[in-house]
Amino acid sequence: MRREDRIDPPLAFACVAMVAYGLWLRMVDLNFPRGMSWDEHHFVLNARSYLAGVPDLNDHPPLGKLIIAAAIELLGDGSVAWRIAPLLFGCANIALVGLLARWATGERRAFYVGAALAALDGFLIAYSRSALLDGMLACLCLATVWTAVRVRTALGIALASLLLGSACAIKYSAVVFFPILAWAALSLPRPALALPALLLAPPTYVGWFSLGLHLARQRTGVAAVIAETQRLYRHHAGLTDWKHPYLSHWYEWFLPTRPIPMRADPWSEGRVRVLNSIGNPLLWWLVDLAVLVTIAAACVALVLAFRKRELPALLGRLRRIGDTPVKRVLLLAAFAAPLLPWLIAKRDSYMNHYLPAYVFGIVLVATLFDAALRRFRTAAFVALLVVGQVAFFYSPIWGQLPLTRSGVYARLFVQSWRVQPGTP
Amino acid sequence: MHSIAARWVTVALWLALAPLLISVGMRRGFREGAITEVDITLVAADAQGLACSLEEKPWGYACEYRAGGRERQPDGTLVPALTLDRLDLLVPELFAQAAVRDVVANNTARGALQERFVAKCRVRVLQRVRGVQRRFSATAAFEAPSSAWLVWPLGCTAHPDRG
Repeated sequence: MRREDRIDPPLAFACVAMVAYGLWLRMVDLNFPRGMSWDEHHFVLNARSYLAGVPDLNDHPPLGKLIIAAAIELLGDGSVAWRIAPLLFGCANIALVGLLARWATGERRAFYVGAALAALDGFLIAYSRSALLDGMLACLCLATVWTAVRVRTALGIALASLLLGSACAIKYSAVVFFPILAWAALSLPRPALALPALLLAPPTYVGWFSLGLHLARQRTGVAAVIAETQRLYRHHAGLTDWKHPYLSHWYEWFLPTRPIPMRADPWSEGRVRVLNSIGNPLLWWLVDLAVLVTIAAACVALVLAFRKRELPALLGRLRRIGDTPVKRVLLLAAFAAPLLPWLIAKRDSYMNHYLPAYVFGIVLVATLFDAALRRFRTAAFVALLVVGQVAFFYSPIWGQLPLTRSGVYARLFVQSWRVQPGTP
Repeated sequence: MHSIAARWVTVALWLALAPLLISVGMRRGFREGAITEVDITLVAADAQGLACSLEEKPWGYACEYRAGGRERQPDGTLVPALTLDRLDLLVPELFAQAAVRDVVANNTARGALQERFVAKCRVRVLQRVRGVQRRFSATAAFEAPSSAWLVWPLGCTAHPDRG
C-alpha cells in the first residue's frame, strides 16, 4: 500500500461513525408519517396513476414516478414503498460523493471525508426520507459525472450518457450536465470514438418517457415525447407567480434563506417531529467557501496565463482532466451547471433546485479538507469533527426525532427558517 | 494531538459529546415546573363556550363545574384549551389575559365569533390533571373524563391563525 493510501485510523473511525449515523437518520421511522407530506402527493399519486394506466398529471418526466411505482408494486402502497427508492438513491449519494472526492484528489482519505460529509447533511437526508425526485436526480447527476471521469473509454461515456438521459427523464433540468459529459468525452485520447456515445442520452430520455406514456395508455414515440416535453416546458415557463412562502432566488440558496419545512407532526407531550431541508449550516457555508476558493484559483490561473501569454496552453490543459487543478475546475463546472438556468429564468424557484449543485459543492469541500489534512493535520481533523458536531446537533430535525418547540427554534435560529409547513 | 493516542482521545470525547448535542431540546416540554411556550387555538365564542368539570381544585384552581357538569362552582377560573400541537391544557383566567381579552372583544364587536386566532402564551407547567371533563361550546355536553396539563400563563400575545 502506498504511504499516501494509508488513512489515519481515528479519522477513518470518525468518518465511519458519521456515515453510520447518517444512514440511521435516513432510515429511522421511514414510514412516518403514514400520510403524504410536502410535495409527496405529486409523485405518489402519479406513481399510482402509472400503475392504474391513467395519465400522469405531474409536471416532470416520468422516470422518478415510475421508480416509485415499481416500489409500490413490489412492497404495496404504503409510506415505506413511497420512500424506499429515494432512500436507496440517497444512500448511493453518500458513496458517489466519496468516489468523486477520491477521484478529484487521488486519495482514499478523501473518499472517507466526502462520504462522511454527504452522510451527515440534512439537505441530502431530507430528500432521502421523502417521496420526492430531487435526491434521485442528484444521484444520477453524480453518477453521470463520476462515470464520465472515471471510466476513461468510449464505453464510459456511453454509460454516462445512459445515466444522463435517465437523469433528464426524472427532471429535464439535468440536461445542463451535457456540456460536462461532452468535456469528458473530448478529453479522451480518441474523442472521435467517444463523441458518438453522447448521442445515447436523447434516446434514453425518449425511451423512459415513452415507457411512461405507454403505461399511461397514451401515444408513444419520439414525436409524442417531444410534444410532451414542449408542453412541460411551456408549463414551467409560465410558473412565475412568486407567491409561495417557500420560494427563494438562486442567490439566496447560498445562505440559505428559505429551507423547506417538509414536515412538522405533533408528538406527545407538546413535542413535534420535524423534517426540514436545512443542511448542516457549517458544511453549507464551507461549500460556499470551497466554491469561492476554486473560482479564485481558476481566476488567478487565468490572469497569470494571460500575462504570460499562455492562455491557449492553459485552455488546452483543460483537456487533461486527470490533472488535479482541472479536476477542481470540472467539479466547479458541475456545481455551476444546475444553477445556470436559474440565473437566466424568472421561473419560481425553491431551495430543492440547489440540490444537484450542492452535492458537487460537498465534493469540493472534501477535496479542500483532504488538502488541509495533508498540510494542517491536526487543525483539519478537529475542523472535520466540529462539522460532525454541528451535524449531531441538527440531526433531530433531519431524522424527525421528537423535539420541543424551543429545541426546534434553537436549530432554526434564523427567523426566515421557521416558516410553518402548510403555510399558504 | 499529534500522537495517535491523543487523536483517539479526541474522537472519544467527540463521540461522548454527540448524545448531548443531539438531545438538546428533546426533553419533554411538559414536565412539572417547566416554563414553555404554547400556541392555543381559540375563537371569540370560546370565551362563553369553553368550560370544564372537575372534583378537585389543583393548586387551588377550580373548574366552572363539578359533578360531571351538574353543579356550578362560583370560583371556577380554569379554561380548557387546545394547542396547535393538539395538547390539552387547563389555563386559569385565560380570557383575562390582556391580548386574548382584546381579540375576543374586537372579534365579538365585529360579529366574527368563529374567526380563529392563536394565543401564543408563555406558561409554567403546574401538574397533570386527570379526570377532567371538558365542554367546547355552550350548548355541547361534557365529554368523558380525560387528562390535561394545568399551566399558569405568564404572558400571552395573540396572532391570526394562518393554519
